[in-house]
Amino acid sequence: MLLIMFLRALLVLLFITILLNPCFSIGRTPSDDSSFTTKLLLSKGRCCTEEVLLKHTDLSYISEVTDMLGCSFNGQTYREGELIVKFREGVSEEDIKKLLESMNAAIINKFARLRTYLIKLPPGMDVPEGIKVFRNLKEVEYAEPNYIRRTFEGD
Amino acid sequence: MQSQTTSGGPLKGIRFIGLSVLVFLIAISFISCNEGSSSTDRSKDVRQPYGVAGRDFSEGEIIVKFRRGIPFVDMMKTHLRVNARVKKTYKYFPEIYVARLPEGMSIEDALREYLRDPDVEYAEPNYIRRPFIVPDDPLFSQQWGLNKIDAPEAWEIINDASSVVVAVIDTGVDYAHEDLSYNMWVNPKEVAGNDLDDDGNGYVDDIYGINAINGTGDPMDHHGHGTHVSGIIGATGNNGIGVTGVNWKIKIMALKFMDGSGGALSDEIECIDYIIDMKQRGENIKGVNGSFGSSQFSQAEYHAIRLLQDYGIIFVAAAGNEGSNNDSNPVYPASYDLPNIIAVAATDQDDTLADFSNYGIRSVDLGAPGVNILSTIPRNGYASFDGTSMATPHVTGAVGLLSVYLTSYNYIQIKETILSSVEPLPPLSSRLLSGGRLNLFYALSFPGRPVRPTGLSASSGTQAVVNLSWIDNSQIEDGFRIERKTSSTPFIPIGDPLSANTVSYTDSDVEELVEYTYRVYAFNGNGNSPYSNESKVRTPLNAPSGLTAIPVSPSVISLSWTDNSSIEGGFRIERKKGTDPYATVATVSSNIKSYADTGLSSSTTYYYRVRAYKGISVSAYSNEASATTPASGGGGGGGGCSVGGKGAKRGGAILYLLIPLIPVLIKWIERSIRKEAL
Repeated sequence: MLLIMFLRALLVLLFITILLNPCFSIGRTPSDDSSFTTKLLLSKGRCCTEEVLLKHTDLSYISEVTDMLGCSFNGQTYREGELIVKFREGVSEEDIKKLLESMNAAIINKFARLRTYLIKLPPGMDVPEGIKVFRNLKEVEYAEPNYIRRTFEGD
Repeated sequence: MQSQTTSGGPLKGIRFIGLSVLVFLIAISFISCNEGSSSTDRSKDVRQPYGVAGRDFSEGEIIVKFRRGIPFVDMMKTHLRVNARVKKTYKYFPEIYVARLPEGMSIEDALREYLRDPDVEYAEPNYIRRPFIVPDDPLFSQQWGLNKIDAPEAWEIINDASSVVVAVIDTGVDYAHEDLSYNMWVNPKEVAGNDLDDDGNGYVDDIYGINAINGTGDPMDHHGHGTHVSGIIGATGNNGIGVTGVNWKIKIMALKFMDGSGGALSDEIECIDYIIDMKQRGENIKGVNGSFGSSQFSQAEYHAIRLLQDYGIIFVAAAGNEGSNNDSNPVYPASYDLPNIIAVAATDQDDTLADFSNYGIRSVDLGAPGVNILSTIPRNGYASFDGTSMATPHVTGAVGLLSVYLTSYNYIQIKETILSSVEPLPPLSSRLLSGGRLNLFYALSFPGRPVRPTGLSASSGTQAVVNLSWIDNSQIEDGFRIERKTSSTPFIPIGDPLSANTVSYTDSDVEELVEYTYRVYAFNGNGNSPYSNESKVRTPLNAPSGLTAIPVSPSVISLSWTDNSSIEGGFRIERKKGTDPYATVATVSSNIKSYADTGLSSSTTYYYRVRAYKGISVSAYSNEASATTPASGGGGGGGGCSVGGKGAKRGGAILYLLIPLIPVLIKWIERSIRKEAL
C-alpha cells in the first residue's frame, strides 16, 4: 500500500517535470563508444536553452527518461498487448516460461542471438502497466513497448 | 548543373588528380607501352561515341607532379628547361601542373624530359576520361543520382560486388522482378519449394530471406518501398533492362518487417537476428539498409545494431523526413551513437538538402540523392520516389562496392572512407557531419582517409592567445593539422602536426588586434580529411597586469603595472572610492608603466584599475589595486597599504614570502607600520 502511494507520488513528480520541460531530447554526441553518451536538452520553454550533458552506461535509464516525458505513449507508436523484454544473463528459458505462466503472459517470439523475447501481456494489462510490472522483476534487464517504425518515403 | 559551377576549380582538380593517381602505374610504363599506337592516332576531331576508345589523351599537354616541398622557382625552372608553358594549376595541389608543350614536341619526349628531373615525382599524359562504361539499361539516363555520385567513373574501377551480401530490412523485395531477380541473395542451404526447413534455422523455404511479420520464408513485397530501395542498391546493371543499381551485381537479402503502415520493432529485431545467424553461417554480409525509423529510443534495437557492429556489419539508416534537426529531435535507429551506423540525409539535383530531409551536424553523416529517384517497383515496374529512404540505399550500395574493392578494410575504415570522400557542399557544411554528398568515385580513389573534425571553435581571453577546440570524429587519424589565415595572408599551417585524438590547441604565436580564421583537418597515411568548419577570432589588446598602489603621502598614491602589449597607444587609469563607480583619472602614453595620483584626501581608501587602449580598441582591465592614504599632518611617507592582486612592494621580501602563508601576519605588520608612522 505504502509502495503504491510512493509510486503515485513519483508519477506526479514525473509529470511536473514534463510540464516544466516540454523540450527534451536525446541525441548522440561524438564520443568514445565505450560508454553510451547522451545529451539531454532541458529547457523551460520550447527552445532548448539549458544543456545538460550526462554520461550514462545504463541504457534503461535513457529509456525511462523518454518514457516519463511521454514520448512513448502517444498515439499508435507501439503495438498493444505486447512488450519486448530482455532477461538477465543466467535466467533460464525454463525460469522465464514459469514466470510468464504465473503472470498469465506468454512468449510470442524469441530472438535467440539477442536473448530477447516478444511477450504477450496478460488480458486486461495495457503496455504502460506491463512496463511497470516487468521492470520491477529482478529477472528482467529491460522491458519496452513494441514500437512501430515507418518508412521514410515521400510522394 | 548549378552545383558543378559552385563546386568550382578545386573539386574538378580533385577528381582530375584522383584519376591521375589511379593511372600512375600506367604512366610509369607508358613510354614503353603506349608509344606506337598513341602517336599515330590522329582522329582527334572525331567525336567518339560512348564505349569506343578513341583518342587516349590531350595532344600537346601533360600533367607533371613535383615532389612535395620543391620551391616554386625550381618548378618554374623545370618548365622553362622543357620550354613548356603552365596551362593550369590547382589550389589544393600546388605541386601539380598541366604543362602546355612547345610546338612539335611529342608527349613521349616531354615525359622523358620531365622525368629526368629528380624534382619531378611523376609526369603523365593528360588522359581523356569518358564515361565509356555506361550501362545499357534503357532508363539509366533518368537516374540523375548515379551521375551525381560519379557512379559511371567509379564503375570503370569496379561495378561487380557479387561476392558481397547486403540486407534490406524493409517491406520485402519483389525477388521475381526482372531487374532484381539476378541480384537476389540465395540461401545456399535451403531447397526451394520442398516445404522443409532444410537448414534448420526455423524458416521453411527461406530462399531470399524472411517475412518476420508472419514468420515465413517468403519476403515478397506487396507495398513497393523495399523493392524500390533494393533497385537503388543493386538493380542488375548493363542487362539491357530497366534501371541499374549502384552495384551492377550484388546479393540482396530480403527481410520483411513492414507493410504499408509500418512495422513493429519486434519484427525488425527478428530480421537482425536472422542476419546474425546467416553471418555466423558464413554469409559475407557487409551492410544493412534501414530506410525506416521513428522517434522512440529502443534498447532492443540499440543492442541489435550493436551486435551487428560486433560482426563488422554497417547499418545505413535514413535520417528521416521531418525537415528537422536530429541533434535535437533524434530519429531512431539513425540517431543511435554507434560507430557502425551511417545516417543519411537526402539531396536533390541541385545538390541542396531536400526540404523534407532531416539533418544534424553531430548525428547525420552525409547526403545522398533522395529526390525524384527512379528505381524498381513490384511486378516489373519502375517509378520515382522521394525520401531519405531513397538516399540511404545509395550509401548502402557504396558500402557493398567498397567492401569488395577494399577487401582488407574493416567497417570503420569503410565508413570513414565514405565520409571523408564526400563532395563538400558548402551549404551543408554546418548541417552534416561530413559536410557533403556521397561520391562513389572519390571513395574508390581516396580510400582510408579520416573523417573531418567538426565544431571548431576559436576564442581569446584578456591576452592575445587563441584557444582552439574541436570534435574528433575519426578513429583512424594519425593526427591533426591546424591552418590559419588573416585578411592579408592565405591559410597556412601553424605549429607542428598534432597527435591523434588531440581536440584542443593554444596558438600563442599571434599578434594583438588581428582577426584570425582557423580551420583544422585530420590526417593519416592515406591522406587528409576534408576541412572542419572555419572559426574566426579577433585577438584582444593585451591587458596590463600586476597593478600595485602605494600611498606615498596623505594626498598621493603611486601606481605601477606591467605593460603586456607591444602595440598600445597608451593606458587609461581608473579610480573609485567606496561604492562610487570607476572613473578615468588619467591617460598616459604608450610604454609608461607608472603613475602618481595626486590631490587625494587623507585617510581614504582608493581603488584603481588600468587598461591599455589603441585607437578605439581597449584591453581588458588589469587587476584591481587599492591603497589607503595616511592621515594628514602625521609626517613621514608611510601610510596604510593594502594591495589587491599580485602583491605589495612595501614590506619587501619578507612580505612576499609570508603573504601566501599567513595573511594574518600581514595585518599585524601593517598595524605595526601604522603605529610606527604615527
